[in-house]
Order: sequence, then structure tokens, then C-alpha cells
Amino acid sequence: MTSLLEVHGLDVALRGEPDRRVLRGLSFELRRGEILALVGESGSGKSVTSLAITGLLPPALAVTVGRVVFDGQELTGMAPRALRGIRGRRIGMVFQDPMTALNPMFTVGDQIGEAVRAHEPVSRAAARARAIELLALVRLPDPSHLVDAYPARLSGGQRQRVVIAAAIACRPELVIADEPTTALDPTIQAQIMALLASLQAELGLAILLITHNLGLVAQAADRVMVMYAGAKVEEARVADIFAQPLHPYTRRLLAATPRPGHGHPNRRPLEEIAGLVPSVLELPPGCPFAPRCDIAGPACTQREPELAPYPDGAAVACFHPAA
Amino acid sequence: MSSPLLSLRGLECTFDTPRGLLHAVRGVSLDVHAGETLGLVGESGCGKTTLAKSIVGLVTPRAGSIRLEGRELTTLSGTERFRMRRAVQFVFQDPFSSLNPRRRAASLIAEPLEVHRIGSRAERRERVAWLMEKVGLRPEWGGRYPHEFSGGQRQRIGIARALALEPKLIVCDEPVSALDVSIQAQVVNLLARLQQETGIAYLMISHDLALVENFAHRIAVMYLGEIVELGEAGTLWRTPLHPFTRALIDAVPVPDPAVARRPLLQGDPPSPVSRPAGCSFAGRCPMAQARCQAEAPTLRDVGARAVACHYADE
Repeated sequence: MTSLLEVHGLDVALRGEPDRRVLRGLSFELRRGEILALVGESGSGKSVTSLAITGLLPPALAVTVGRVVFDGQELTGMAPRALRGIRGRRIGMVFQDPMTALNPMFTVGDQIGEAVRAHEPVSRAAARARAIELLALVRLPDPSHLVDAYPARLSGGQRQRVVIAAAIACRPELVIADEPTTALDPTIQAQIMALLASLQAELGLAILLITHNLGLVAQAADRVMVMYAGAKVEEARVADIFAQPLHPYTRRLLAATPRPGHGHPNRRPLEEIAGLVPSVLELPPGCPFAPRCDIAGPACTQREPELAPYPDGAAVACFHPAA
Repeated sequence: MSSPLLSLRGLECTFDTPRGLLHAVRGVSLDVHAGETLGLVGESGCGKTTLAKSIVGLVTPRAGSIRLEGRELTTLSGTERFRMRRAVQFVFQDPFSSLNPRRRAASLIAEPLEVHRIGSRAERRERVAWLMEKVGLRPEWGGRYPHEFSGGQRQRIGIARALALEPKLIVCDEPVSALDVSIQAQVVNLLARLQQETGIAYLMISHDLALVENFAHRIAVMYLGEIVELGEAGTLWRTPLHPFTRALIDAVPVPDPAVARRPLLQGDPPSPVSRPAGCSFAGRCPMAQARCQAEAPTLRDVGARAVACHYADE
């Protein structure tokens, strides 16, 4: 497999203040047809990563250092017009809240059709026909009627299917899904994840799945990157990271996740991670996780550990990794 | 078992909507015992939050009975009800919008004491400091405003407020779903520790079955306004009897890649305005028979479990 997306040493900082970084030296690659999960808590920089890749950073933030390369083309510094030709066409996007991602004033067909017509010179009728096909592809019932429905008539799960249909309308190679199921019920969440997995298999999509839910990662992803305070702290294949997490943050995060089947009457308290999720703009010296880490030593508060490579493409940034 | 702390019988809650009468809670009967945690799970729109609000008096039920330590709450006069309300408190989902941003932490925590005219000013101050310590906040932070706290700390303020009146029962509506994973465990463990120390009971509402299974003694599963299964948490997880309970369990993404994906529940929950005849789950049920379309099952005992399914014991 060749890499479809490469991110090299990416820094995102407050505009005009390059020392106040919210993303710190991020590097990773995503291969064609692969599902890479990006895991982290609030403020870890995972959503900033997706916005930096797609050139959709809010005005207060800017890429200061580093490169984003998509299929051999550098996206950082690309003219907005050229970037628009890639974003939406070759890179599809699915965001968290399907209630706000759709315009309530336009029909489902209009909105999927618009995604097609923005990038392909097709007639209105052809775009509509394509919208019906796409609604069937995302397994919505009765596509030829649904195409004329307004979003208000649809449930949350149905709307997220429509958003996914629009995201894949131009047959993208990459879909960035930022917390795609967080706003949905668990039963619907499972349906949407199954849909993404089957589309990935049918269309050969690569998916960058951004989530805080380790259960979803275990069930869906091929590889996983764990972020903390704006930087990658661990990367590994999914089976490896769940079997043997190397970074203490990953280890504690897994232990803090409720595991079903251990409840009353055999209940044990959940393992806590002491302290608070830090603000990325007020980091302590040394390893950002050190104040919350139960195995931190003197070196950990002096300087920040660098990512060290491990077999099978894994990496960890810790002076005292497990293993 | 001793007589229940909270007892609901045939509770009905309805709302008038432009599309017709919305029957949010349909004949729910439940008991919560002293010192117990009862988890209440279900999809959005199943009526679990309406049920919770009716217990704390934020929604007036159309019919049915709510008894707290044997006293009927629905027929109490205003002042009596006000006094009884001290025994039942509420912790809200969103620690960002449930605290008045213009009041300091100490004043937020003292507010229930002021409302109920408990203690002198000095006694209240002492009690607030004690409460803050109890929930893991430093008493010297009492002068800070909500925005100066993290989400987890704000939820601790919400819990301290709820504890201020020494209630017998706290109704928690998704108390940790707005928090980061590493903070969720802190808050859940805090709630569990407070229960051990004070014997407080919780009614914990959540869509996160894995969390509820870890935390609750018993679990009630709600579907379209009705309890469809009720039983001890561990055994309900291991041997769900209602097909909807099984579907909810199957939908939990297990943090273990070795666990294979299981079959998925299809479709969305039907509207509580136009409820189907027969079993309300029949339209999505993988094992529905002709009888399920025609005849609504009632909640009945199957061993130590209560379940509303015609085929629960097969």
C-alpha cells in the first residue's frame, strides 16, 4: 500500500504568535484503503489536525511549520481555489453533528446534488439521479422519495447517512470523519460505524477516524494514533495497542474506560487518571503528561520525550515505556 | 427487602404537541431502594429524562403515583412538597449550562441551604467548605466562578449542590457524558464513594450501557415510554431476556479488537406520538412473530427478572 496522506512536522499556532502552539510537530501517514483512528481528549489537537489538513482552520489559527501532502501534492500553501478542487472531491468530510451539517432550507437531493455539481459538470437531472444512487448506497430506505425530503423529516441517524452520502458523492479517496457518531444513540452509532466500514471495503476509501471512544477504535480501525496536549504520544496497530499499550497515558485511558461485564456484584472502582486534561497553551516543562503520570521520573519534568520508533510502524514518546 | 425509598406505580406523562398527544411515559412502575443505584437506559426519546423530571417535580405526571418513603408526592400541597423535595436532588448532564455563571462556587453550593433556610450564615459557610472537600474541590476555590473550573470540577460543584441538603436520592441525568474519558472515571468513582459513605441512592440515567453496567446495582431498560426489562446489572448484561436489551448490549463498542462485531439493530425508534399496535419493539425486532404485532406484552416476572416480551422464556 502506498501512502495517500502524509503529514510532516506540522505545527499549528495562534495566528501571529508562533510560540503558542496547539498542534506540536505532528507527523503521520495514512495509506490507501486504511482506517487510521486519531484518539484524544478535549484539547488534544485531534480536530485541529483535521481542519489543518483540509485548510479549514479558523482565522485565529495558522499552520506555522510543516507540510501536508495528499497523493504527492502539497496542500499546505496551495491556492484556496486549487484546494477547493481537492477538498470535497478527493477528500470527503463527515462532522460530528448531523443536525447542523445540513441546510434545513434545501432538500436532501439538493444538498447531495450540490456536492456533485460543485466538482463535476453534470446537469441538474444527472446530479439528482446520482443523489438517488448515493442514498441507496448509504442504505437509506426508499431513495427516490427521500431525495425530495427536507432534513427536518429525518432522524439523526438518517441525517448522518445523508451527510456521508454527500461526503462520498465525488468518489473521494479519503474521508475525514470527526466524531461521526458522538451525537447519535448507541444503536444508531453502531449502524453508522458498520456503514463506514462497508463503504471503506466497497469503495476502497481511506478513513481518518477522529474519536474519543476507544471502543469504536477497537472495532473499526486498522491503526491508531494517540494524541495528548497537541502532540502524538503513541502510534500502533490496533491489535497491538489494545494488547500492549506502551505509553502510560494510553494505558491509563484504557483502564479508565468502563469494560462491560465487570459490573455489580463484582464491581471494582474504575481506574482514574488523576488531575486535569491540560490546556495546550499552558504546558508544564518536560513531558505534558508527567503531572498526571504515576511512573514519571526526574527526567520527565526536565524535557519532553521524543517519539521513538518501535517494530511494525509503532512509535511512543515516553522515557519509561512499558514492554 | 425493606420497603422501597422511592416507589413509582403506573406513572403516565404526556405532552400536547402539534402532531398530537405525545405519550412520553406509559404506565411505569419502579422501586428504588435505600443505598441502591438503579440505572435507567434507553435510546433518545424513550422517555427516560421525562421520567426523571417527574420524580423531582419538573414535570407533572398525568396519572400514577410517586411515593417517597411511603408518602405520595403527587398530591402534596405546595409547602409540603417543597419540604419533601429536600430528600430528592438532581445532577444535570451539562456542567457548562447548569451552573449560574455569575455566582461563585461557594454561593452556588450554599444556594440550596439558603433556599431551605438551613443554618446560620457561619454554619452554612462551614458546611460549604465541608461539601467542597467531600467532592474533591479545595475549599479555597469557593470564590471562583464556574468558568474558572474544568468540566469535571464543575460537575463536582453540581454534585456538592445536590448533596447540600443530605438527600436520600439523587437523580443523575447523564452525569458524565459531557466529560472526557479520563475525567468520567473520577466522577463515577466519586459518586460510588459518596454512596458507600452516606448510603445515598441514585437513579442514574444514561445511554452508556457499559458505564451503567459498571456502576448500577440494577438496570431498567426503557423503550418508547415503557420499562421492557428490569434486573440485576451483571446478570442482565450476561443474559438479556428482551431482544431490545440484547440489541443495546450488542451496540456497545467493546474496547477489545478481539471481540467480533455482532449483528446490528436496524431502523430508528418509532415516534412516541404514533405508537404501533402490539409490542412497540416488534417493528425492529429480529424475532417478532404474528402475536407481537397484535398483542402488547406486559411486564412480567421471569425468574428474578421482569421483562415485557411474549417470548422471554424461550
